[in-house]
Amino acid sequence: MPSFTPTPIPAYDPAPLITEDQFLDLLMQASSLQQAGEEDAAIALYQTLATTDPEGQYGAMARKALEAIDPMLDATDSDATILDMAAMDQAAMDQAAMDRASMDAAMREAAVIDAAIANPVANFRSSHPASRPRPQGFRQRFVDLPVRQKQWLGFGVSAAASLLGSLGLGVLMMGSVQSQLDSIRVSSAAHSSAPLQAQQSNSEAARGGKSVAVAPQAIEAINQKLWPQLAIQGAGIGALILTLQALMTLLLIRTIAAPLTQLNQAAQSLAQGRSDRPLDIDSADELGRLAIAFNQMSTNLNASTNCMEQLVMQNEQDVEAQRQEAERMQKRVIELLLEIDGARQGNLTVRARVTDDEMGSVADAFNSTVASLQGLVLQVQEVALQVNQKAAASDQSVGALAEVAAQQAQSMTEALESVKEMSTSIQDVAATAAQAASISRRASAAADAGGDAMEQTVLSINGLRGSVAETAKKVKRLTESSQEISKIVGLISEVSAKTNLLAFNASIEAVRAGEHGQGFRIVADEVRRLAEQVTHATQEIEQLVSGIQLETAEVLTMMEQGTEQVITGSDLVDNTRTTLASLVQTSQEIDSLLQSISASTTSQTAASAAVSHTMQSVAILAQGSSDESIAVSEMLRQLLSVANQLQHSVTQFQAQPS
Amino acid sequence: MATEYLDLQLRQQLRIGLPALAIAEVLQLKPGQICPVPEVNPLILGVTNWRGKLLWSLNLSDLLSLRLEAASHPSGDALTAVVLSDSTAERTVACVVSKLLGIVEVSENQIQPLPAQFPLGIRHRFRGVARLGSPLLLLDPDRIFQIQ
Repeated sequence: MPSFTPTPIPAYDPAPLITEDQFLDLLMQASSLQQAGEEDAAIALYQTLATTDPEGQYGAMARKALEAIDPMLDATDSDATILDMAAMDQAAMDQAAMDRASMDAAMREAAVIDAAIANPVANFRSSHPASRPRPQGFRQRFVDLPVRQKQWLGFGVSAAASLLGSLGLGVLMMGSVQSQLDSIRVSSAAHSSAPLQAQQSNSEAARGGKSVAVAPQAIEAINQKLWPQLAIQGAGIGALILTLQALMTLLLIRTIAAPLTQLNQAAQSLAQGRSDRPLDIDSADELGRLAIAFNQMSTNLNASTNCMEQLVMQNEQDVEAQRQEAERMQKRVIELLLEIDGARQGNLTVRARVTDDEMGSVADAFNSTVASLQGLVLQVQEVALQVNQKAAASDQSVGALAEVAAQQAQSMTEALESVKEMSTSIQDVAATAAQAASISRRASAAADAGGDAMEQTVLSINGLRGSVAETAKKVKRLTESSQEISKIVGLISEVSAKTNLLAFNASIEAVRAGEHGQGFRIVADEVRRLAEQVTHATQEIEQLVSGIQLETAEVLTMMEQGTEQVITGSDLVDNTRTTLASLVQTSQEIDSLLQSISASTTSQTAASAAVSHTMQSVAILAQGSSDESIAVSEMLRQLLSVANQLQHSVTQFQAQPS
Repeated sequence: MATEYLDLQLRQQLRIGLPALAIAEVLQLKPGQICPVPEVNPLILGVTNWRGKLLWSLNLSDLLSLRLEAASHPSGDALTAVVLSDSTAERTVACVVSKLLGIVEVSENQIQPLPAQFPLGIRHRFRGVARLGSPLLLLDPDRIFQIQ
């Protein structure tokens, strides 16, 4: 059954594709609108339905509803319009009343109503002009007025009567007020429109009595004459107004209260389910239109009730068909269950019969499932067998593995001891390297000192070489001097030899002189002796000088040899100094090497500590792997028993046809 | 009566005495001052210039046939020569000697004849021998010029 919740389908927009549910929904919306009194919207919805579903049952219902609405519309316009409509399409109207379910009649009906709906006002105006003459008495005109206008008219008449009564009373009061005012007021200049001013003053007095009129003496006199006449006229008008008011009240009771009572009774009967009798209220006001709407609602309610009855009947037929289908399915299911009962016992070779109904596909699915299960069980049997064999084979391997793991743990412990010893020896090496570095530094310092001493030695040797060179120069000069002496001595020797010869000659001459030459001969002999002494002395000097020359030559030779030795010594000292410098450098290199050895041994100590730590953790791991392998061996044994159980369980299935 | 002799020495340290009156002068001759003369007696060294006169010069040791000594004076040294004249002072000759020793007085009684074993070739050139410590052979200047 379609739900009755209103869907937000646009009422005036004929959708090209509307389902049956939406048709029913639209119909219900239109009906509710009609019942709520919004007839224009309801008519639009019915028209939408009639045009979008011209051949279906909903279109027919819409047309019926429109048909129910339209005569009332005619009635509101004029009684004669209904008669004219009836005269024009009497045959169609009769046929519709006789055979509402007939589609052909509905089509014709729809054509007529569509024509009427297309331009209803124009139709009515053209065929039934509203200017048709009709009797227009006051009562009829009042009755035809809308209720609001009637109310306004009643209120207007009452207000006019009240106003006139108040006016009369006001006039009477103004007389006394005016007389009191006269005593205190002073008249001013008179105006030509005195009576008007008096009337104006009267009206102002009637509204509140607050106005203060300043009138001249002439106007005052005229007013005193007019006031009594006005009082009498006011009293007469007041009585007339009261009478009119009573008449209007009676008229209102007849035109409003009586139709309301009739409408109330009709609504109560409709609520109790009796809707056969339509209302008959001859009025053009809201009450008349209310009565027409009420009649439409009653007609629509009847149409909806018929539609509901048809739907209920169709629903009962559907339920019966479903029940028969369910019985058939139940029977087929029982057959299938009987066919596959063997599978429940573990026989996987059972197959269900495949038919061409719904249970056929179920049987086919069951057959494929059982076939898969059969394959699976066969596979499980094979796997269980393999697991059994592999587990039995693995047991020995795992035992061997456990033994190897234990040996590994033992080896790790031994290796740990070795690493500790290595660490100790590395520390010894570090200490020795530190000592060697210290010694090397001392050697470097000593070599530095030796280098300084060598520097001083080189300086000394250089000074010595300078001294030797100076001495050699002096010795050379000495040699030269001795040569000079030798020359001089040679000269002296020559002179002495000549002197000797001269002395001989003198002696010979003295001999020749005889006795007279005796003294001269003595002197010559003395000279000759002196010359011989000089010759001897010069010979000695020559010998001495020769000795000096020989010795100085020897000294010179020795000096040259000494100079050469000094040069050689200087070169040797230079070499020694270079050697010492290289020794310093070498010892510094040794020092740096030893320092790097010390640093290396420090890092080696740390590394060996790390290795020791790692080996300890590896030993723990080896012990753990030994334990784990034992546990794995135990687990394998358990796996073997589980595989045996699995093999036993799988044999309960019959996977191969016996 | 005593006579002065010039005491001089020849090769072999032979001590010779020449009469002082026969001697004109003692002098020194450099080798360049003696000019050799060819085709003359080998005893003659050459001629030399003495106070503007050409003067024969001879080595007295060669004349007396004395052997050459191993350590003789080098040829570059100056030679000591004695200018000797004969008794008539007609002939003058320069005699090269080794060394002048002095002037001695020899009396006649100190003169003795030459020993018998004295060589005959040079015996006639001496007057005798005087025993003055060591023997002093006294040459006769006239016989020096007797050259064969």
